[in-house]
Amino acid sequence: MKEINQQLSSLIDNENVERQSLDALINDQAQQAIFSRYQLIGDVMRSDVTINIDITAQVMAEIKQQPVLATVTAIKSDRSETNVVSFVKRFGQYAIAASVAGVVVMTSLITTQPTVENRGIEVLNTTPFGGMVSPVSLQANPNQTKQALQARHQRLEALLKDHQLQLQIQP
Amino acid sequence: MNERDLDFQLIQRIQNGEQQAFTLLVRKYQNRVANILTRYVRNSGDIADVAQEVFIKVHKSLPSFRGDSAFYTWLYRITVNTAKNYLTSQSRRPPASDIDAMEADSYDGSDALKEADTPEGILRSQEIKRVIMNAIEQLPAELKAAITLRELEGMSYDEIAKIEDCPIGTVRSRIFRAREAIDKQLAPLLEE
Amino acid sequence: MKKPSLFTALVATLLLFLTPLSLAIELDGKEPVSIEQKEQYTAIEYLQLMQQAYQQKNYELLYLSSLQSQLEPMQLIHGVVADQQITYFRYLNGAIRESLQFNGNISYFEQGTPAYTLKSHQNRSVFANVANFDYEKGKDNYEYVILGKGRIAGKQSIAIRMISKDKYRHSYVVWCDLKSNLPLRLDTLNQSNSVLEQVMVISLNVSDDINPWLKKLTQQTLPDIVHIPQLTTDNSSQWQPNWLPNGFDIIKDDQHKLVMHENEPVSYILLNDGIVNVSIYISTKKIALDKNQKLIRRGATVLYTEQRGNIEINVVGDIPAITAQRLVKSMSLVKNDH
Repeated sequence: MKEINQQLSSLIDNENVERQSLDALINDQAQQAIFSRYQLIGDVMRSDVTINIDITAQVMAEIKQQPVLATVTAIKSDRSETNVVSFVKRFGQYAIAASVAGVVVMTSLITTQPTVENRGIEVLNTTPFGGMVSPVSLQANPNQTKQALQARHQRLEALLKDHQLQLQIQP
Repeated sequence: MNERDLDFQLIQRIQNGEQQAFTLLVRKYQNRVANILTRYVRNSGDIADVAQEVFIKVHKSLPSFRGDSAFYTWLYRITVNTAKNYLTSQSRRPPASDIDAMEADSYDGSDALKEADTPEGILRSQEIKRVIMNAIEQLPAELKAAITLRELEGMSYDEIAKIEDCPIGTVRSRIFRAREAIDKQLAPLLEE
Repeated sequence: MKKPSLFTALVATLLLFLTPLSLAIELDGKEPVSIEQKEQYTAIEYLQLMQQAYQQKNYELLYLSSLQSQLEPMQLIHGVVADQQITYFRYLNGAIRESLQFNGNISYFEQGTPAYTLKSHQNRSVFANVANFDYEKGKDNYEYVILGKGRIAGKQSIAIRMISKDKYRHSYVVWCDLKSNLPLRLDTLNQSNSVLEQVMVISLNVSDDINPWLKKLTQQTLPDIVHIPQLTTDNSSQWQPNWLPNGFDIIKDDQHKLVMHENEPVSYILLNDGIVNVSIYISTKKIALDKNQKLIRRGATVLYTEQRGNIEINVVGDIPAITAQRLVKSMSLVKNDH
């Protein structure tokens, strides 16, 4: 018990935040009460407290009522594999290899091609592999700044790549 | 934010869908939020309600929290905004001494709540404070030094070890023993 | 063929440049091909023969993918050892990009980035979608018609058309080699019969035994396996489509993060009809569009975006725009009982 509380104590100080001690803390009411009191000691010492409240239960109850829109489920990792590395760690945010996309997605540019049949439909072009860039013009909507446009394109590209990734890893 | 940071770990878990981890953020910050609110919310009976609103907002926006600022700075901003909204809804003007979010980390709020409405909660808080301060006074010198360097000076174990000229493990154990000793007197007070 | 000159020129160039690589280009074109010896098959039988061949034979394809007036030459080597398929793929132009798939793993090698391996049993090589389709079941949504015969990559081939019975999916024309039954060309067509995308083999080499080099590749140590967060199945996206085109099923329903984009959380649904896959993403709106709906097309692929209040829904897949639009319109939050 003492050992656990000492781990809790260093956890509060951002020293040695370990997976297991955090797991234990998140799931243990008694430890959470201790966590709150240790925290309160610091708050009081710093004169951070002139009023002391405990709204944990209310907040958590309220959160459970909120519809889940786009949060993400717990990740079950199969850590049994010894040579498994995190995808994010390996590739950072944007650097997912185009080859995951296999046949489709590469650096994309989106242009609006004012043809009769697809008026208003944007056409996604890619930079071909030979290194030559096809003559496409990036037509910015006057209402959108260049950055906003770029941000949107990055996101769309991420969606297209994720689509490819999901297809490849589907069960 | 770095990976050893408790906030970072918690936020990551929440963003991964482990809602239960949010409890710890609430537990960790609720008193500081309440304390900030005392500058805006004169009716101390409303503080818990507004604080609750703050944490709900935090929870909603957490998926988009990128961690490029400290969590507390971000939380502070949300708290102040919520407080101002509360004031607008109460059609009162915000206090003249508006605190900028940038000062969040240095603000100590000790001059808050000058008005005389002192309900039970505040009396209780004063009692808690007295008990904790007493307990600290009674600590052996090395424990007192360790907890003070940690909580008041915000030093890391490594820094404290250098100052106190002892191994980090000793710092870890001293801080824990200090907390444990204080907690022994604090716990009964809160368990009522 | 819409651009005969371009294709011919490219084929000629490629052959020149690839001849040393592909040592045994068959020259069927010079031989009198007698298909009379073979019995006549029905359209669906040809398609099923094509499937078996694609999965079971040892072959090497050089092919071009043509899309929005861009051509991309690629190579595919396929082999079978002890009932196990091995597939090697690479782009022939520009930066080196290759992949190797066997035994439940697919490894990617790309110039300038560390190689890596994904756990995957999905064959997504060039003709895989038509080669893995359940044609018997597909009768509900497609009609199969023999269009006629022609020559592709120097081979006598038969063209079979898969015509969609409704307006919610594309139609296809599959050309199969009459000798090996392997697919040689695949056109994706829209409602008005315009070719949206085309893949065409320009050189085919079939052998009885597996390419020894390919076999050797499988003995190499694989690059590190990267961990894609696998999600619990019981935790669904919280969203549902209230309409699905005939033949489509939901095969994935989860919440995950866009690892390529700031780890943004999304609710996700994956639909499949055996030929195409459609992804639906629901997320919080980040950048407001000037219009509430937006459509982007690339070849047969559409990316349809709709913004509703704080929510943005994106549909990605090789489907007509009308299907994407109808899917998005039908999306709603799952009602929680508790």
